[in-house]
Amino acid sequence: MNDLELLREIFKDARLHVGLGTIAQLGMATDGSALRVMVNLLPENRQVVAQMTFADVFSVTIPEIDDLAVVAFVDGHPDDAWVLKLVNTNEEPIPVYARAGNTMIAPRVGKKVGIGRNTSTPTQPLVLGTVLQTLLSNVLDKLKELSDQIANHTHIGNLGYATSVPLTAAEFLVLEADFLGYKVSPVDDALVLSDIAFTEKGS
Amino acid sequence: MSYYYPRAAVKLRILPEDFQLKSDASLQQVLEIIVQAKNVTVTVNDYKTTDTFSMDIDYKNFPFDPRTIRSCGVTIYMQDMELVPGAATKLDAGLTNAVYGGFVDEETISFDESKREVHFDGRDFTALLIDQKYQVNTPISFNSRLDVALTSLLANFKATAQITVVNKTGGTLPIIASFDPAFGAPLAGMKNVGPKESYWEIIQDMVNRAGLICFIHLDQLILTTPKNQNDSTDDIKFIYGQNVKNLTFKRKLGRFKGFNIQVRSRVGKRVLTAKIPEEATAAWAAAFGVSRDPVQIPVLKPDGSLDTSAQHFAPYITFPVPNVGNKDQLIRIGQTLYEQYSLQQLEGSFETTEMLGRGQTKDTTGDTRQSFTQYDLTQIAKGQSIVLEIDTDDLAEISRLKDVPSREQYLIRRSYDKNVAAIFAKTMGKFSPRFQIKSYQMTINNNDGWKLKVDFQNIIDLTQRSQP
Repeated sequence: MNDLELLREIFKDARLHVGLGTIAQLGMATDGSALRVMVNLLPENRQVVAQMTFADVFSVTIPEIDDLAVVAFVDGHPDDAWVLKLVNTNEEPIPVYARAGNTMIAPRVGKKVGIGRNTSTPTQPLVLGTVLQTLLSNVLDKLKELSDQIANHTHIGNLGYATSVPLTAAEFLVLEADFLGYKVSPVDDALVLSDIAFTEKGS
Repeated sequence: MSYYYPRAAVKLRILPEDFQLKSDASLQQVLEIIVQAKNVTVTVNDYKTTDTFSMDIDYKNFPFDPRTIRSCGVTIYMQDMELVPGAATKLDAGLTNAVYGGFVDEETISFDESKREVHFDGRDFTALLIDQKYQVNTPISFNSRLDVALTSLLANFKATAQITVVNKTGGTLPIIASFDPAFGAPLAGMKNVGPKESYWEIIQDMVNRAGLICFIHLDQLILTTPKNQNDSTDDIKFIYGQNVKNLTFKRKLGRFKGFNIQVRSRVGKRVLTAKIPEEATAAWAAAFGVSRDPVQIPVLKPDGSLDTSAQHFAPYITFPVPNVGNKDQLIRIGQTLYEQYSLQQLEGSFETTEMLGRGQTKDTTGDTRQSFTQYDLTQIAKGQSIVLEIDTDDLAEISRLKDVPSREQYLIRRSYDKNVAAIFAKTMGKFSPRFQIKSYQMTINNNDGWKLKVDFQNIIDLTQRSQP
């Protein structure tokens, strides 16, 4: 080994700045201030404790044991370790819908997606758009029909003759037209539905 | 001139080679033999560096082919056999006269017309800890007291499991994780270990976080503070003109002299900072003899006069420390760092052939009646404090212990300008004679006897401040 190689060896940066490993243990602080995870760095199977980071402080998905993670060490210092991202594998494949380039938020098996404030547990389920559209369309059909029937309603009066239509028949005809209008748009023409965000019933 | 009978013995713990690649060394029997060496040199370095030894043994007394030895542990004993006049001169190897423990790195056998020698070079247990990388692959828990955590760490490695952790701080050792705001949380209080981190690096890190220093002495890991080593009751007096030769002082004037220390730790989004000396404890500042004002440096104007228009603070040397949310602990760490950095202003070396620390000196108030006990110089330790005085007849008038007018007159008689003489005479009285042993080398040679070479460095000691 010549002098230059010796010096290069001496001053070689042996620090690990970024590594890849599997999550081995989770440790949530009781006050929720941090999620520490034990990461089993690959391939040497050296374990380090790192703090988990998320897409945003309030947009959080807790990792699961054996997830593959990218760990970064600030300035290469082993005690300043952060999990930056989780990585897909054949055990956690990219969601099918996302493979076509779509953005996808899919909960872990048995888990839910919550949208709400960071201090509460959301309990109200989201509405399924298409189901609601069909429901609205049907309801509006029935309302239109009801309005039409009221506007044309007659019955046998006190003298034994059929009465005329109600005095407010014109208003009911307007209502009928309104219900029809609502049904046509935004319900039946799907303006009530988003073209970019979709969900599903789940199980 | 005193009479000594220096003797050295070396205990070798030899693991023989069995020439089988698959053999398990730990199952082999270790052979212990004691040999007399022709020359033994023990070099004890500063507390972060491994200590070394070298010795020559007459081949006649050690007729082994180096290939027969797989590994060899070494304990070296030195003693003045005149300590007990009339007693047997055979050195009994024991804990009281052990000066070195380690292992052989290299063995050489040489034959020529004048000698047939076996030469050993080796290092102490520090080297084992430096060479050994941490391979346990799990983080180290800081959730137990420092000595317990260190003992647990050392137990991971068979060769260092026998090292005892000794607390010489005079207090209870802390739980390092207790300084972490997340102490007690799941997975908190753990230290990750880098891919090529050695045991010694890990130990240094742990000890630094506790605001302490450590070093290996024989088979002990000593935990202490720089200041604790400066206990005046342990001072050994060395006096040029009586028991010292080749005394040298050196000061690097170009070196950065004024400085402040700041220790920082990130706690969540906030950074906790401790500045030393301004935030040091009053007790520490009093004991260490420094003011709790930020250190300032003189700045000259272009015309050469001193700029007094503003304060010019000396640069802050910054040390990041992970996971310390306790300001008191940051201050403690900063104080230790300040002490260590302060040990670099003045250094030097001297040699002595005396085996006992002796001689007459005066204390800092000039009291010549002060006495002290004799000290076995084979048992000195790194970090120990010593007092160095110059005591020759022709320099008596300029002695540190003389009064200012005498020193001034001495300088004037030697044609110094009166102003220069006045200033120099005054400042000479302010120097402390106390130093700290940085490293030392002990040699026992069949031909030349005993020799001790000491490298020392100064400690900040302003006990002379009030002296005129």
